[in-house]
Amino acid sequence: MTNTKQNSTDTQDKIKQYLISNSLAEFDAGVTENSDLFKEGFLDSFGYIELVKFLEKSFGIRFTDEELVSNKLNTLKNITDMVQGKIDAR
Amino acid sequence: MPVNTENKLCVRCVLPENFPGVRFNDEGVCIHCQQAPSAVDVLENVARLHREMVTAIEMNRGGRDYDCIVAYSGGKDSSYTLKVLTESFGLKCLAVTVDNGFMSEQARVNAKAVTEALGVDYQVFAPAWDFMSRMYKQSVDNSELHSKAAIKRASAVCNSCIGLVNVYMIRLALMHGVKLIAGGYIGGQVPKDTAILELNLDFYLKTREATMERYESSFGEDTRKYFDVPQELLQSSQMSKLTILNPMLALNVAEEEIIAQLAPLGWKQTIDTGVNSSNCRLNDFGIAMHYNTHGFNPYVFEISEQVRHGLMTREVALKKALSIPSLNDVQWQAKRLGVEIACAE
Ligand SMILES: [Zn+2]
Repeated sequence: MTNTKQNSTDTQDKIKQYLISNSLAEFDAGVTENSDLFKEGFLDSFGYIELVKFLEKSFGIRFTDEELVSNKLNTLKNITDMVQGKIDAR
Repeated sequence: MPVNTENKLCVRCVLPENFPGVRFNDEGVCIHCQQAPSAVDVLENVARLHREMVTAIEMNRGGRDYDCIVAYSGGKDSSYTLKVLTESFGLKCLAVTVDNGFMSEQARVNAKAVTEALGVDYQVFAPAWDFMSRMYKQSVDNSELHSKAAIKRASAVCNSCIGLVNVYMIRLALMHGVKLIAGGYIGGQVPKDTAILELNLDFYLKTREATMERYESSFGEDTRKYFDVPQELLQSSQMSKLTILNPMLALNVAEEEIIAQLAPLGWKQTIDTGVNSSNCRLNDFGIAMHYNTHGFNPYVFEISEQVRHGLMTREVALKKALSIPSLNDVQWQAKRLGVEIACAE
């Protein structure tokens, strides 16, 4: 858990690294920060639960149930924005 | 069974260098072992999970017809899970087996014996073979079916089957007004640290939609009957959350100890299910196909996790991890599924 504020680029890098090593995502020409990670087959229900746990633990944030079912955590960009928003609001 | 020695393995666990996302340091220790908690931390973690499980059980027992639905394969892990929940926690369980058409005869006998000895209600659900065989065949043929990361957890046929079983348990829980579901998954088979998983059903169903669409286009007719939770059922149950328990993660018991504790209930070891399963005769087929496609044993992460937790010696783990059934060994399963597999010389 970290208390020092970090910028959006660091946040995105950290999430991207997680997705690469845990969800075996490959970000290249075909898969961008705006690709739907569920449709691309990188996340399923279990993978999503793990991702949420990772985000909550490593950024010291909490998601509400509404946020979790909102479909807003579906792309690298959207995940980063949501996480960064929570970090900045602290 | 051929023994594979081509890939370098971690010197502490048995993870091979070609396992997705793995890296080794100069001493040949894999990234998972480098980051592994100490033995003391493992014990503390297990103790914490146990306390959390006790709380989750106390909060969610007392369902309408039962306290808990147990996904029961007749294998050793789920038999032990059922025993602990019934005897140690005093839960009123409904044990449910999904018969996938490849259940070992001994597992059938074991399931009957154990449920009888424990005095729990027992139900077997055997989905139509027409669908099951189609599902398995497609699982082999369609490499895009499961999420990319799912190959780290299990073989393609196993992943499909586990999905079907999980959904059936959820449906039963809703039908019986039961808030707890338990399974005998062990470390490595489910996401990390999920001894207790609170499942928001709306959330679960939404995150499943993409998977569902792939399943439906692949398995065809009746897919939603086996893989979906209908909205009407969700609404009539008036439940929005379920708690999924994996007691094995909060117990940290070694395999020999489990087998010893199950013996008095009449549970006997199966001889026709390969080294990594104690109930399913399709398991070896899944392993052989997985190895052929991805070059590593789908159980290797789980086995390595057992070593890291001090539940299995590296020697035993090596033996398990390296005994890969050959494609020749699994011809009868392929034939039963109508899958063509190339036979090595
Ligand atoms: Zn290792």
